Amino acid sequence: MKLSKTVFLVLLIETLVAFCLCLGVGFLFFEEPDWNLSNFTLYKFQSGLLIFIKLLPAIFITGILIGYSWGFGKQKNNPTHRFSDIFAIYLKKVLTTSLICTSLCFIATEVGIPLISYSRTNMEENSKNVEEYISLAKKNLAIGDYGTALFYANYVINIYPESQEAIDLARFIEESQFLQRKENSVVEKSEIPSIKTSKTSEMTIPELMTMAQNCYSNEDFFNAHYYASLVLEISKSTDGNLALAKQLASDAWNKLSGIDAFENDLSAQVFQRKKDGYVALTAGDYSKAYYIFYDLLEKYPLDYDIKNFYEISKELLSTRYFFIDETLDKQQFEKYRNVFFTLPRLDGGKDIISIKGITSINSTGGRIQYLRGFSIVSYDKNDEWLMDFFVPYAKMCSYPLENLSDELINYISEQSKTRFVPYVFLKSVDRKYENIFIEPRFEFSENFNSDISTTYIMPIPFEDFAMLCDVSHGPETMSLVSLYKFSKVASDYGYSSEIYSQALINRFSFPLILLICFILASIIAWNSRILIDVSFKFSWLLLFPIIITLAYVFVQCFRFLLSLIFYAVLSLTFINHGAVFLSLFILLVLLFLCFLRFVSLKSDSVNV
Amino acid sequence: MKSSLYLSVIFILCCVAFTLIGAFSFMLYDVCIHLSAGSEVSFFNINSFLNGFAFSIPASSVLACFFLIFYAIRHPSNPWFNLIVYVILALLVLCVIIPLSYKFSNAISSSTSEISKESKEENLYTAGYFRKVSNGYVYFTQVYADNTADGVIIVKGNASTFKNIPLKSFFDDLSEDSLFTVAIKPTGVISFIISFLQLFWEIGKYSYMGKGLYLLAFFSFGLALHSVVGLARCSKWRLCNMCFVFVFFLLICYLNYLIYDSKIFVSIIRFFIDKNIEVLSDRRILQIIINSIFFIPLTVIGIVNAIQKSDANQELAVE
Repeated sequence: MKLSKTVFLVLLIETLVAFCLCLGVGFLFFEEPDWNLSNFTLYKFQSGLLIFIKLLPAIFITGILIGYSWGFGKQKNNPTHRFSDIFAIYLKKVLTTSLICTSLCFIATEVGIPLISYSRTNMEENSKNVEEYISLAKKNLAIGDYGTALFYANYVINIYPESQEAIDLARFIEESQFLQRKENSVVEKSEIPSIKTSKTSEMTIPELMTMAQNCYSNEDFFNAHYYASLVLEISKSTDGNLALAKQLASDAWNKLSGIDAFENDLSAQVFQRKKDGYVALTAGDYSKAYYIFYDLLEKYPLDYDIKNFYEISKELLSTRYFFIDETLDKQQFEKYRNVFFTLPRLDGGKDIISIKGITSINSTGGRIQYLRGFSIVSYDKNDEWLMDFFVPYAKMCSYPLENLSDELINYISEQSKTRFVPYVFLKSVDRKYENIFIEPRFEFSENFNSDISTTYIMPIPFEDFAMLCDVSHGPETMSLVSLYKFSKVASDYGYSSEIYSQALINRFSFPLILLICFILASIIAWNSRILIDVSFKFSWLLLFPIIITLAYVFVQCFRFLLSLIFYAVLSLTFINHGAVFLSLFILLVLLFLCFLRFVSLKSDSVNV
Repeated sequence: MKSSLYLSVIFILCCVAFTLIGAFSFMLYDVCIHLSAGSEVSFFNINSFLNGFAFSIPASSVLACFFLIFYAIRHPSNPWFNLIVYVILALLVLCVIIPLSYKFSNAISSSTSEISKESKEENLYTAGYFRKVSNGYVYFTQVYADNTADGVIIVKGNASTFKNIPLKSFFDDLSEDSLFTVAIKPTGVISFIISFLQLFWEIGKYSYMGKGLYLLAFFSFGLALHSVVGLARCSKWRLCNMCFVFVFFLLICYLNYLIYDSKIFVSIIRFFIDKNIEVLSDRRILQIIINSIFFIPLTVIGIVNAIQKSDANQELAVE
């Protein structure tokens, strides 16, 4: 049998057997954890798979060692002088096998382990959060925050629909009159009202004017006033349409005010409600407008005005708040858990941010993310506490840079060419009931005067937020791209640059370390090859587990020693970011020495 | 004969190389574990290197002897000459090199004790980094000279502030930054190897000081370890022989470790005390017996194999 075929056969059989054994160990020896798991079989399977991936380098080393030891022994060409041509051919074969094994190990480590860890963490967290959320629901109920209490109760029901305690709690809050009594505790800073929507923002002023005139002539005075008001909002003081738009808006409003002939009282009431909703909308009270039109739409789903202004008010509401029910099923799809970092404040201080879990909406390319357990603690430039707040759920979107203050635009532009920053909505409202909402709880220092806002802008490029989320996976499992970027700026966000740089080197060097181990294994294989007249014995199969264990210990020790050396390389501050390349260079030299040793091998025996 | 004498050269080279690697690793580990986030540090520390040098000599010399077995398997020559050289070197390790290394270590530790005392009292915690604590994460905004700190603690994702809290309430040892302790401190098999080396370094030190039964027990361990050479000619396949040697070497190490650090041997000793068998109620006597169980058969196997399989591990001429 050819050399490579022998080795591949040994590797294949060994890997398959090891895979089955590792899964068996996972199923037999992993006991059910204290917390309730939704899918214990999957958890056990993943445990076995993790053992297999961790042992994979040792399994391949053993396969190469035994496979080549057998294969080399069967070869009839045994050169007795160093640097013979036959070893150049052997080196090619060994290198091909080693590269394949290295790639498989690298993929398993870089893709397999993060995927499994992510899935296991999700399972663990979902199970653990049930108890925590029940207690939070009770706690919020006790302090009178009924919207938040209902949110937690519904959340538990969403994860575990059979949870009787959560069902009772939710029913108790819903059926009681508590929700009616809640008042806004957060007084928001006033914002200039806008009635622009995504649909109308694409229209030009002449188009809007035409729409306004058409609606007026069709006696659709609500829309005539709306489009004319839009022209007033977006046109400049020098615009020629301004006077006409003002006149049209005024006429439409007068017509609306003058309507008094109704078929019956009901029609008059509906018209008055529509008008109230419309007034609230134009005054910037989107929340009030939304609930009026929502209520009207429930009763009169075919009314065009109601339908239209419901959509407009809903869209405008979503520029300030988000709906509580958007978050209910998000936790089980969370991509990141326990995310925390520091951000600079423009006044020279810093914000310490903590997020319990993040769900990214894939269909938006991660542009919309839901942040569970979002809290911020702010400090001034003298490290004195300013304020803190907490909200059970927040929604984050990417926000165009041009809509921000000049100071912030300049600050972001210095760091990146990005045009977007993370914009966080802190208040969530119920889709149906006006009195159910969740808002942040603030605490302020006596010396700190600030407007309370239900939004928060992170002063970082949007892409950096994704990188900061990835940090929560830890330096060993976060993506290599994020790790590379983060290692340079870790200390700006409250993490140690040394540790992340070392982890980066460790992970980049892993394939080279494996390659060295595989070449060393093939050198040992030549030196200990089965002699040509000796047949393979069944009892020798016992060598597999022994060598796998020894190889595992060797790889661990080798990597530990190298990780210490990498720290030393990092301490050479004069090389700055070249530490990665210097470390890789050291490994390449080692690899070259291994190659040299391999081609200098020879046989003690003489071909007769 | 020439090839057998060549073994002593290999031994010296291995001994030097292993000791230097050991000393270098010890120094790196010592410096890494005392890193402080955000502070610059010099990685070459002569005191750590010398301490590491002294610490590494016993293990390195035993490992160098062990390596000779592999060398002899790969380059087989006259088994009797090889055995004589091996025995001389093994006795040299046990009777000369290891005792000298302890004397060297004593001399170094007396000269560096002041420096290590100072470094143990130093606080390495700095402000501006997230650190893991028992129930979550902590972030210090300010660390004061009296070892108290202000900052934020994050427990189950809930952040809360604190002021003037002693660092000791978060971390037991202020002379090690937990950021690096968590990242560097070895776990699993490496942690076991390090604790094994530490334990037997201490035991060896007391054995050479205590003489008598202590020394005899330690010698029995050394002899049992060296007797694994007897397995070098068991199989026709060199890899098999190497594995036999390795497995028995590790097995002897592990059993000796268990004698000093396991509940099994505590209950065995208690059993003998209860039965009034005083001879066996001493840990060292048990160690001598267990090591003899390995030493005698392995030596006999080695001698028998050397007689019967004089051409073992040889590469035969290919027809």
